[in-house]
Amino acid sequence: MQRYIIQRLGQAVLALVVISVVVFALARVTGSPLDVLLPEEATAVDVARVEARWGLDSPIHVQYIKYMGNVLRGDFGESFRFRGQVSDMIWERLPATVQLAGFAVLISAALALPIGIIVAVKKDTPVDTVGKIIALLGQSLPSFWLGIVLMWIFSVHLGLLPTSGRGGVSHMILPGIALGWYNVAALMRLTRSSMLEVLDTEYVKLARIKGVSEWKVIWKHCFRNALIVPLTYFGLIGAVIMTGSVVIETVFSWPGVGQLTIEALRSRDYQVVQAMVLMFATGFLVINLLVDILYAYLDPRIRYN
Amino acid sequence: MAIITIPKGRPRDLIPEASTVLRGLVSVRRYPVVPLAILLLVLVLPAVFANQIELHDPEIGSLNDRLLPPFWVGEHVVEGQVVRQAGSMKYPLGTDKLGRDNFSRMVHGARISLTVALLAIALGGAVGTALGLMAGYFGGKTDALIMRIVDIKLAFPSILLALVLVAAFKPHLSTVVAVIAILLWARYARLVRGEALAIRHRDFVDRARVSGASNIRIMARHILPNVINTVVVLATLEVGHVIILESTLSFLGAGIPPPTPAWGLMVADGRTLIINAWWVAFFPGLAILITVLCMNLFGDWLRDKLDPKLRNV
Repeated sequence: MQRYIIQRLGQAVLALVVISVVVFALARVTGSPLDVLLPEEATAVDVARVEARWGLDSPIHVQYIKYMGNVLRGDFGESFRFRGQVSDMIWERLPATVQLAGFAVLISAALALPIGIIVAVKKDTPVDTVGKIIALLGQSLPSFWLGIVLMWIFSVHLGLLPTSGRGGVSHMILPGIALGWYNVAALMRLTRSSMLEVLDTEYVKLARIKGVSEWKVIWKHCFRNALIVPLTYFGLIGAVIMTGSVVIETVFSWPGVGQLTIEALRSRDYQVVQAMVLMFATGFLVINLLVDILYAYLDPRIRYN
Repeated sequence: MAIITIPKGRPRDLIPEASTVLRGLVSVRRYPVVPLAILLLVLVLPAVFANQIELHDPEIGSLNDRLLPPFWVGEHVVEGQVVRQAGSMKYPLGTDKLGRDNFSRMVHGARISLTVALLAIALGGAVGTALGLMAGYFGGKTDALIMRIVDIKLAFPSILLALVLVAAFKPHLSTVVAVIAILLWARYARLVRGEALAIRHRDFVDRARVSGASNIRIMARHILPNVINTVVVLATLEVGHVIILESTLSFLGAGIPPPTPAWGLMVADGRTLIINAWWVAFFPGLAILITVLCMNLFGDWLRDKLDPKLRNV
């Protein structure tokens, strides 16, 4: 087990190094940061001054090592566009993203688990068909469009919820659903199949023969056992929601790090883009790592393969 | 793993799965796949022949016809003044803020989406399949190296990587295709490698080697035909996913550059107009939904038909 964890950890670190090199190189190979920092009519003296100011006069590998050294100390440098530290910008925006993401996970679980149980119990009835349609729509609805349609119906037409921005709980409902929707479908399908498996076991049949009430059979005997599979999926949910937040925050003008990433990309603020990619990639890798370790813990066959 | 029974006979008959493809195609009629295929044709055919159909120019609008609603929406009158004209059959699905025909842009947008999806999957699938074949067939160091790269690739957060790549290079159709292909290849490599690994020690491979076939020939003529079903199924299942990916990139402004009509771009244009002109964002999104839905249904059906073991992909 230890060996497996170390091996996976090594892979994750290697992936992170590759990502950082790729992003660092991309930002420099495809156009000098000077184009962003200086106006076109800048003189050679200006160029030299700005180069020295940002450390762009040293060779690229020296720049990279210096940058990574700073990153490891939590310093992502200064923004090209806005006067200020990149890490401050991220810290300022992060709570909004975490709030929305947490809410989306909550919505996914609150909708998917009950629906998954109901459609499993009512297998091969119209209820089950509705469940199948939800699952299919989950894979096929583009989240940005779903967000806009929800906004159109509930904010513009019915006037029930605010269109965009951050505020109370009412501000979170639409973006939360748009962000969590894909997971609702996926998690529901998993719960359904896992429940069906448990419903078919001997001990459930025995419980029924004994005359245990149907509600008790489903809740006590089935649901708890069926929960293991969907639980392991929660790691993936985190990953899906992280990338989804970039899209949904743009749709609903939610002031989080996702929106910051898009703004930085549009204004070619590489310092911010680099920091965001590294941050997202780290989060992504940590989640994947945890899920892999959890799987290996639950299923010994993986460890020895 | 698939259990492939190999009939005795001429070498040509040693490719049993090819007949499965044929049988699959013959039985198409008996399945609910027909309405889906028709729907796809309704979308694909107009897209292919977009230049032959009499349509408004998708990129040049008429400024007198800005933000006209779809044909069934009547005029909007506030305090005796006409705020918005009624829709007409001249622009069946309305116009956008530059007076461009929504319907014509959607038909041309279908072209973009389908072209990007097919090219990206062809490119990513071909590279991934080739690498997977090599990894599975040669094994050892080749295998270890390729699979390490696959692992690293699969650890990247895909949308973000795509955004950065597209932003770094010149936004163009070929850039988008290349970037999406970069996101796709690893799954093919992993899948094909697993299958190739399972058959490289089979008798017919050994026989081919004994009779002097080169490595490339063995991979192309003896192993590839046995894994092609898997590749085709995965490719079909991924069309919907890729169309969503492409439209998401366009929506975020990192896809095909305007004024080319791409569905994601159209939805992005309509986002700020949702209060006054819902149709600008609504219809292209609906087109994405219908296309992806049909492709997913078709993919599921094809998988059950050709390769049930892929159920969890």
